[in-house]
Amino acid sequence: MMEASKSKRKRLSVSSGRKNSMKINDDNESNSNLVVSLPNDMIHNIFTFLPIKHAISSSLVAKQFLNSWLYARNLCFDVNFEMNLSLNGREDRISIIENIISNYLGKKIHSFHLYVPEPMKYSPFFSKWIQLVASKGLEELELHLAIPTNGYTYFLHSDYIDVETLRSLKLICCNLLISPQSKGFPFLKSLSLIKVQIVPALIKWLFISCMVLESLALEGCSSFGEYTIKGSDKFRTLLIRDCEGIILVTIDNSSITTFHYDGEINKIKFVNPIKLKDVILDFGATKGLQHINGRDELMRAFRNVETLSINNVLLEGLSSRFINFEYKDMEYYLPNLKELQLVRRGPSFINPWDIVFFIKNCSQIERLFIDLGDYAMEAGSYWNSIAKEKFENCETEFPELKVSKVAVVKIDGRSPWQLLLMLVSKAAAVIKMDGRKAAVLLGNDSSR
Amino acid sequence: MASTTETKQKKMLILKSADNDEFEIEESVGVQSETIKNLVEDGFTFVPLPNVYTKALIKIIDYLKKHANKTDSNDEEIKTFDKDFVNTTFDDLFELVSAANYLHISCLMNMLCQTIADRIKDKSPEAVRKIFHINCDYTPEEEAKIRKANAQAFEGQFDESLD
Repeated sequence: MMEASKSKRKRLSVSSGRKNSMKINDDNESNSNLVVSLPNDMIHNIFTFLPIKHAISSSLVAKQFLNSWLYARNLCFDVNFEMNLSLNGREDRISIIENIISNYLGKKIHSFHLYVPEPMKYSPFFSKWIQLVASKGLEELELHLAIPTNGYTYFLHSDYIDVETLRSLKLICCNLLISPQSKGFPFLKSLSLIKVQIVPALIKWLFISCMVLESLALEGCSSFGEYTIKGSDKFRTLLIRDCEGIILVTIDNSSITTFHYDGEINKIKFVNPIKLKDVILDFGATKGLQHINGRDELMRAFRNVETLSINNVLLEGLSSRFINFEYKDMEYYLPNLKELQLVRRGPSFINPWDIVFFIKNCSQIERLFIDLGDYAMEAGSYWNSIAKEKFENCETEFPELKVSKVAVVKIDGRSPWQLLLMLVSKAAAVIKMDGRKAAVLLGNDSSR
Repeated sequence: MASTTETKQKKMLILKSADNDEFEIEESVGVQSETIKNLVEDGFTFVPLPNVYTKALIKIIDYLKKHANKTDSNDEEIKTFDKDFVNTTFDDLFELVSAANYLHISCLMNMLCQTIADRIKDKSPEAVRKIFHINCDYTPEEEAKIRKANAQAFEGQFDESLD
């Protein structure tokens, strides 16, 4: 078809403009297919959407597109760009980037991603580049500095990126310095701060000045202090991972639907009822069994959650407490939970009753994934005298359960884990059960 | 303002495709297109579109209807719709991009151009020529010269497939 049409087709000239902007050739020989050819100015426009490296290689397509890359909207000089350069290229990296940016002809730069392997060498160009790209309607900025070996801390001055078009900002090893005159980022939707220093005042300022912020990610930040998350009703996603030194994060924002937290136990607090739908809580390993402070509030905040990923530390934190000479199970209910993932982190005190008790409170659960690795429970006095009996007398069914996958090493015939498997598999058929390594339960054949 | 939009009598427009099919849509849906908006402002309610064929127009009306009812809650739904919308052949995408260009619907234009760019980015110059039906007008010497000048862009593997 390609061959047949080639001879008949006539390209439209660049100047044809919008009138007659498309020509459709109806080839009789292959009547089912139309050949659509775009005018050159539209092909040129499409090439400007390529990442810069690919935009440059589009100059080889035909003469008309020799300079298309000078209009490229996505200037991506990230780690991959670095990897793709030959050794010589790597030394010339600064001049390649300088050349591309200073020759830029387009009106619009959509995204600018810059990886800076040696911040010292780049510093003479840094502010010039940022200011130039920011003036071209920049929407997405990502600056990734290599971890400085000389102990310096690098800053991005907020004045450089004080443009109304900015929607997404990601800074890696590059601190944000807010100028006192800054109007803030009124249209910023997404902010990621990775391996930077943050202070409570900065976060407070961000929520006040970024009125439409939808997502905030803080990863590996050094972040001493108490933080309050209080954004607008547009704020949806909060990610906090491996941030050192946090004393407390108070989440006072009822519109959040996605919350991922990876850090120490007892550092988060929810103030208002919240719409959370997707939650990952990965508490760091604790030295001993540690109860969660304000666990009733925590579980209340999860009432609407549909997908939940937790580890043993959370379950241990919820386990029964010894009050008035008896062990009291905590009361909570997750009526909307559809999917639960449970993994183990560090030494664990978890027992099958903890797990069953948790799932028992999730009546709508459909998918269950448990991976405890090579954990073998030690049957201590608590298990032998209290939990074992509760566990063995527990009559629960999970009518909605469709998929369950459980991996526990060291299962032998009479192990309590065996009973757990039986219980969660009541609604699901065992497809493969390797007693030594893992048991995989799938499907919803209840005839088993 | 609220009272006028809520009245039952919505203002309607008729769009006529290049193959003479007519479509009736709400004015509020149609004015997402700058071209239609300009005509509406000049008092037209009948809009002939001599450069847009029925097949593309049906898809574009779908797109406009979906995006006219954008709220906070159907964000995911629109994303899924958009993903399906661009999941088609290059030739269909080209037809849509020309139509979107003629109709001046900039968000659709950007989405289509980005989709096409993402799909051709790892392809060899030869494969790109075939996809866009372009003839190469470089002499081998000229081609070698360009390759040399921008050597850093031409390293690595290219994808020769045309889909």
